Amino acid sequence: MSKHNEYDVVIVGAGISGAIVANQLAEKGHNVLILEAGEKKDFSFESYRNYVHHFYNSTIKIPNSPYPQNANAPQPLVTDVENIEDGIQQFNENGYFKQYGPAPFQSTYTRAKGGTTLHWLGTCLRMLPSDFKEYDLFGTGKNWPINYYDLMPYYRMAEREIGVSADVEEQRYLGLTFKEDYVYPMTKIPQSYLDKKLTEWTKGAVFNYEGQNFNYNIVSTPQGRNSNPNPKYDNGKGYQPVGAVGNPDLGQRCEGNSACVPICPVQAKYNALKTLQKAVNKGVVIKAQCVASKILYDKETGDISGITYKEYENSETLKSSSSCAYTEKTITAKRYVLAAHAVENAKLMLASDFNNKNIGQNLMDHPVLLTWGLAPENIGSFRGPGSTSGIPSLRDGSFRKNRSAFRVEIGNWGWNWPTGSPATELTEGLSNQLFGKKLRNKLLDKVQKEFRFGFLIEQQAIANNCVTIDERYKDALGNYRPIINYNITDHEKEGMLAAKAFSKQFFKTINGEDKTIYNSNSGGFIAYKGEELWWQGAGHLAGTHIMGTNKENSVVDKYQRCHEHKNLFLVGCGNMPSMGTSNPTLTMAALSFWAAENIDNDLNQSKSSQSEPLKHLTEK
Amino acid sequence: MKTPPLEPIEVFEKLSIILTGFSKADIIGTGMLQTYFDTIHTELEEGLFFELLFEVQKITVTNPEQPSTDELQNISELVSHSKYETAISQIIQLWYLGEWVFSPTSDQNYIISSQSYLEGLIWKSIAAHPMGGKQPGFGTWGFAPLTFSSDSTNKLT
Repeated sequence: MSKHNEYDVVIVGAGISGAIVANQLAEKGHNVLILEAGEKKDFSFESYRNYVHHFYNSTIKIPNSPYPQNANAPQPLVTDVENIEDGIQQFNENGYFKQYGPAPFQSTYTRAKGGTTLHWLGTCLRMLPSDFKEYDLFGTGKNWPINYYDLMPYYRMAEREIGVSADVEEQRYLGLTFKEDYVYPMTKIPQSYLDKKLTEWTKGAVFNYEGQNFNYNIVSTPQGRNSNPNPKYDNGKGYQPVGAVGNPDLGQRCEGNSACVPICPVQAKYNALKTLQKAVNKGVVIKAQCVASKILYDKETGDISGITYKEYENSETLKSSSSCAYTEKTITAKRYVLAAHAVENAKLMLASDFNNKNIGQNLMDHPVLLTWGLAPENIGSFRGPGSTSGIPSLRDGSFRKNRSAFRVEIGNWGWNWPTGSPATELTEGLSNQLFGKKLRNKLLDKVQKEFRFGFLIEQQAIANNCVTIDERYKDALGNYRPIINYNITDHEKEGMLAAKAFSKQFFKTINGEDKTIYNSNSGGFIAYKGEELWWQGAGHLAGTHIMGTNKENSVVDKYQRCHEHKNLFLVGCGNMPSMGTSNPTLTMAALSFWAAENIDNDLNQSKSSQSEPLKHLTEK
Repeated sequence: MKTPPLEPIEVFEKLSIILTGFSKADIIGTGMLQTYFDTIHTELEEGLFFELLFEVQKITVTNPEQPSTDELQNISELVSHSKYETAISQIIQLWYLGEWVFSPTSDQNYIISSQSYLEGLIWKSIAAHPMGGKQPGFGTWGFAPLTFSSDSTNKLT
């Protein structure tokens, strides 16, 4: 093997974390290569439009519907979990995951350039200060080795990169603080008509649960989608929204396409292609169709000596699951970064015989309890971003000792997620032999009043929820398929009970009709303490290589560097020991900025051959 | 004076207006009439489509946008006729979803084209726009819905 390293840094994965690290390090003058498992795709708008057409032509419009399946780099689908038969949850063996349950793992991610930000909703909530020290405060979950105040400057960098629209004054709740005079890059995304009506109908009311009152305050959600630039941003310098890659005049504002998940047709919603393009302009090289399969390391020192990957040639044979032609190669660099996604990072380290017992453990998601009903009057459903507001009052409190916290997400697209409306409403009308204007009236009356809640239940990191590998389960390239063991604890079920009670009281308060009915055969259905519950995955996969204070309790240190492999850094949600009730992308992005800074310092120190410690975290 | 017999596509247009509850302008405006005619002709079992059109032609509908009670009654009989029931449901779903639906759970169902998806009448019927297309513009989701209230005075008749 050549001792000459062509690259300073090799990154595995061209999603948001890999893109941020690459762009930051290129900015500092380092040579960076990204290995991407997904197809070769250029940065043209036409290339992106193909995804949009793929979405239009999909009969089942699930989160990965615009992004074709690729046998060389398979991705999980929500449809891989099938209905219950004879009391046993069915896991589709044709799916990418091999699942042992006992609960279904229903979350997915995208293996393509740009990663899962291609289909994310764009919610950019910061984690609460209390979320970073949950064990100290409540005796449950895990502490982080850093705190909210350490992360604040990196949150600001993430909010600039993603382009977050929000009103900072509305975000100061439950201990969230911001730098004096801080404003978000863009003013808040207008709240939906539904949000406004619910605010009006709940005025002065409270949710009472187990002797405690919680307010119904409906707060606009910080979102990674373009709104009007805030002239006060950056000490009065303002902000320039970033439009579509390959067509920058498009997507300067959110145009209300109502398809954020699975794809924003104009890219007003941030996706990592935007950061990747900047990185490429600075000289970063992306090698696509290269699937990392093994990390090589020195058994004595732990130092990484290279990454082996399989480069496949033909992406046209994607659909077939038969073996594909590939070439195996090894690449070397001064520093290595795994940014391949929580599940893929863990899988790759397990395949490389790393011996840290925490790898793969502590898999988390936000189980989303769904409830739905009808508003007392037409609210104009199916318009605007998927969600523009939420109710944060149950994100924190002393109750976290006994049950999970949750955030209430208000959905703008009727019952689309829980029931498949409006297509299912049409089916129902047709089964009653309605046609013509009677059919139209029926659809209009019903669907215009539909809305739903998603309760994002905090899930704690536990060892038994994990990703493992097994020789028996491999994909077409001979790489491991992830094996998932997953369950929901009573702590989380208690949170779901509170969420269900919240929903019932809410519909009473607004004089709406609670229409929540669960199918007991559907994946995620449980009966608990006499109450029926049904949850879905949020796509918030986290915690498979958590950060901590030592190798016994974690995989990476607070600098995002592996305890046992000093020239290997990990990024992504896998580093998070908890995620509270925040959608994790913003925090992941902040951590990626922090990791990039540490890698840069580390490279510079090795140049001057001094082994000083990495810069200490302090809020400026 | 004798009216010349209608071409099959003209009868289909008439039927489409009655079944969907949309105007001739809406139907023509989708640009899908001929495509859907061809799709139905291909997908339905041999002869069934033309037999249906023949039945429709027998029901004289003066103005398909405002059919009379009697005319509606005759169409209702076709809609619930065991021979045509499924085909009519498929035709309505084609117009509403832009999709050929063998059955709601069949994995053989297919979307005709990007255009057919975007022109699905279901979005217009719920006073919305197709998810992912025909963008209504920044902030419009915050406005009161442009819609008919559910009280009978504003109902479509």
